[in-house]
Amino acid sequence: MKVQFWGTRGSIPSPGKATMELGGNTSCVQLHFEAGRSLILDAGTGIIALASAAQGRTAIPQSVGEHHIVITHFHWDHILGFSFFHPIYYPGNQVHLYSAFPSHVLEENVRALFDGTYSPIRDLDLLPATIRFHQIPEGGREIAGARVECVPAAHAETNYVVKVSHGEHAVGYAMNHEGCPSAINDTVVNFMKGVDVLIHDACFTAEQYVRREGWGHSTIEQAIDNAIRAGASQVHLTHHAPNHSDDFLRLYLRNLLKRQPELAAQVNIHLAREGHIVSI
Amino acid sequence: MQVTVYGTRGSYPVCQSTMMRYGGNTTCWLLEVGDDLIIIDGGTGIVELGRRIVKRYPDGRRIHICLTHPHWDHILGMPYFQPFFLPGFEITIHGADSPRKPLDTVLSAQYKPGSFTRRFEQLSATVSLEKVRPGEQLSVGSTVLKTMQLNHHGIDLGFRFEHDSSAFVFLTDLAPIKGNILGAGMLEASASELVCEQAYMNRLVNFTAGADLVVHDTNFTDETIEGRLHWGHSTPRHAMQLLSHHNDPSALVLSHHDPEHTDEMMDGIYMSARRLGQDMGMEVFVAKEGGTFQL
Repeated sequence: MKVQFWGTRGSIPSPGKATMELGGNTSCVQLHFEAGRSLILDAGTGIIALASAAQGRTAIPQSVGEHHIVITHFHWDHILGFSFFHPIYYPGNQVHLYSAFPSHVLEENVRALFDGTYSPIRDLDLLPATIRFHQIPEGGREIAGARVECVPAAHAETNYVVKVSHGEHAVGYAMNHEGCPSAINDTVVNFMKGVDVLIHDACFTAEQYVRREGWGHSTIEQAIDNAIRAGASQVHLTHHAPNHSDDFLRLYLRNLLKRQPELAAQVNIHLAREGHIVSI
Repeated sequence: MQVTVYGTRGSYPVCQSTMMRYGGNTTCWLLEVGDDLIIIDGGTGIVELGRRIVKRYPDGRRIHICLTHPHWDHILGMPYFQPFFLPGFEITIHGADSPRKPLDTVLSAQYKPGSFTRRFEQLSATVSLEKVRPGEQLSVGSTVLKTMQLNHHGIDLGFRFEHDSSAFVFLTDLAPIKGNILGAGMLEASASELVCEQAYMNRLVNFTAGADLVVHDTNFTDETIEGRLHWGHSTPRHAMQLLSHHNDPSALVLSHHDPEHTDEMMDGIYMSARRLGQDMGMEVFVAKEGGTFQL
């Protein structure tokens, strides 16, 4: 299995010279399985680059395909790229959207993007691709040959963390999850037990968190702690705050690991970086 | 009048290192007229602008936001504009109703439960909405703002700001109208397509007359517009053809850069537009994030 990061920024896309290394696009991760099958987690603006890399907008695609996208929740930074996901504009493409929400809730939220107000598309049904909505039930389901399960995250609004298992490997994806001690966090940590890679919200520093408790995001420290408790081999800190530059994050992590070298001894710690591909 | 570019990318923000010289943020421009702060559009560029305003005026300030239209790239940054969350700010949003949604619904939908953690009605700043009908003239601080509907999907406003003897015209998301009437209600209000097209062109020529600077959508090139006229955007050539109606053509700024245009491609587009401008006796600039113009 391969994990490819297309969007690592939280809240709002943040283009700029200071954010180019870790990336300015919002949440989107692609998991590659064998035989070219893949699964996309969230449709932040990273998904636009994902589609463009495969087929530029101006090129008519040579082949059509199936796309599987799991949406964790409907905050803008997790669904906005879908309006510009090029495969929806070509006939023959099958785009399957999944979430732990009832499928009509998923459908309503996606339809709202295409009512003619926010782009020239005035009805989702006018899109040339076939778009289908599915619920991921309690206990999970198969998608693209992988097992996908969800449990609720600790967040101000309903949101789910996701675990994708394929063969002997598993990847955990916890966006907009607040990792402070709580029963929900314990459930999330237990759910993530044994994942190879944990991709975890790490929006705040410990100091920033003091004034932002209850906002539904984790600190860098909480994300690392959750990864250690879950026994993950790697943690990728993501959902970077829009005003955290590459240098800010790199220095912060370096100093944290200098003060607490025991953290890096228990889990491989990375700042999630747009374009990075992790093989497991 | 000082004009600063905070975002000039079209369609969606781009975050590639090959596009950073021209900038990746979507449309947001700041117009400073004396002490008045007038913001044009709330694309992602408005996020950084908000941070700067809060730093410069920590106790608050009166701010005007003029929205051309509610396509994503023009409102995407609004929920992350910091002054909305601070009580000292008085913010007036000027914009037109959309054919399918009134302006207040468009804005509050950005903050609806499930989409955002806070609600539009509960923002700490004092926020008011001023609905603008296309063609209407209004006062924004000490500046006169003239408007007209542009040829784009739905209702898209062109702006002309006049103060003392200076005039600044902002035209984004407009397409050539010949055989391509896109604006909501435009054809219905005319006797025929021909009448509609001619009346529109006359309005547009008058609207830009005597301006010191005209910002114009130039998303496409002569090549890329092929088959995409109905997408609602123009080329540098279209912008120059418009301004060539005037004896003393305004200076032109190319804007709304295609999200697939790298810096290198933009350099090429700018150079050939400048050459064409020289032939036509026109000064041509290209919008770059962080760039400023003094009128």
